[in-house]
Amino acid sequence: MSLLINIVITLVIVSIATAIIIKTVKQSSKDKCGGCEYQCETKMLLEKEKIK
Amino acid sequence: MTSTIGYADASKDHHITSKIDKVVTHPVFGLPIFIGIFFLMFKLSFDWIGTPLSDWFNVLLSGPISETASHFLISIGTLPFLRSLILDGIIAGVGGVLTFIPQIFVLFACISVLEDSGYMSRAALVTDRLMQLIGLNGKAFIPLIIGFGCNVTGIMAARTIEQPKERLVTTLISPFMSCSARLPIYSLFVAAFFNRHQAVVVLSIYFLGIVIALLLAKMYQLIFRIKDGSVFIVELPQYHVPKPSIIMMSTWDKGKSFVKKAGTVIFAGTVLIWLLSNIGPTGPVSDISLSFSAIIGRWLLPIFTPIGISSWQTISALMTGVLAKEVISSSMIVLFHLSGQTGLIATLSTLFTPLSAYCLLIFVLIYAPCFATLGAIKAETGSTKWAVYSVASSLVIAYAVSFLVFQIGSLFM
Repeated sequence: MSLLINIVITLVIVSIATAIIIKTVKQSSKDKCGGCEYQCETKMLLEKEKIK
Repeated sequence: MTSTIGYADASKDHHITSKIDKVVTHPVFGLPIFIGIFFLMFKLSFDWIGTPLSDWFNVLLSGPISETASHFLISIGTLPFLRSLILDGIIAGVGGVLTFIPQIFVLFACISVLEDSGYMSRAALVTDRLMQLIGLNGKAFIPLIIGFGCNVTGIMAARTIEQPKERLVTTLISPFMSCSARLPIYSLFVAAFFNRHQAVVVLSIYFLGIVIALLLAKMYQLIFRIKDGSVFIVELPQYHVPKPSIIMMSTWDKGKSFVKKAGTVIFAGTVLIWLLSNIGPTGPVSDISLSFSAIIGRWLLPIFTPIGISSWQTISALMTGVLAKEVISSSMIVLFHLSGQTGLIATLSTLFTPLSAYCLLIFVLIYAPCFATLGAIKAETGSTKWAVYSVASSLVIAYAVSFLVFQIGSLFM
């Protein structure tokens, strides 16, 4: 495998990781669970009961 | 009086339910029963079911999976740095955290059984008496118990508390509840240092978190002068045998965030720490002791030595925990250049004593909340200052408690 392909794969992995870290930090400031993106049980319960 | 007891349904089963309630919500025996149930839960998760399954996973990861991946990467002609990133970084790090899935899922299954059987409402009632002593009530217990799964959801659940000051106190003490993200690091250290008493040690860490949270709540009650408490009304469902399908669904609901995190934030944190341990001020380094992570870790080492932490790798790993607590374990595997849990346990036993290992667990329990929790604190309090306060206070308390335990413990050990 050529050096270029090795570097491209490494860059792809590092870019994905960087994007996830940025997204996690951004999500944290938007009242969302940083680690999980789905609607968690508690959030659904709170929305259902409209507790604001 | 701030609590009200009510039964959801009055039928023939009501008689059996009220008989059980006389025992489990007893003013004297209620709390010891609650502690006993939690002990049993940890015993199942760590000693009886979780750890044997985890060991099996670990053998699979460090053996066939790593070897197959290594052969494949060599066969397609990958260069050493890419092989290292994939094998020593992603597979060892992310895989190392995934080996703790059995403990986490068994614990979530136990919590689901307690919820579905109807016991959790009783637990809130039992703790109401304790909570009243510190100026809160059983209503604050619900967010705290939810915090055992994830502190973010625990903080969000604090919205159910109407009284603003009580809500603020519950939000501030929620991060001291030991969330499931801390379980991989607990599992690792109890397996390395407390093999015969895994459940007791983990239970003690959980209860230490509760005690610190309650003490802080009392302090905040005095500072904020909380007088008018919210009314705690709890509906007690009748006891019933939990349905396996509901338990499975509920366990998966709770545990899927952990699996999902492995593919996102744990993966990202592992790649980040691999980069920091392979790059230094002069560029790529072959000697890890010249890397950025080593420089940062060594710089902070004098601060951590008095609490029993004597390796820069551990300090660098702790720093990545702010991203997500699960990343601490994967970072350790990467920083110690190991292929999995077994190698890490052997290395840790040369760097820690049981006392210093316990102090590290205390530090992990209390120190700075993760980004997501900080975001939740900011959103729920509507102020950045409370998030900053949470980081500062938890770091000070974590250091103070670990310092006291290590220094006093060193006198006797």
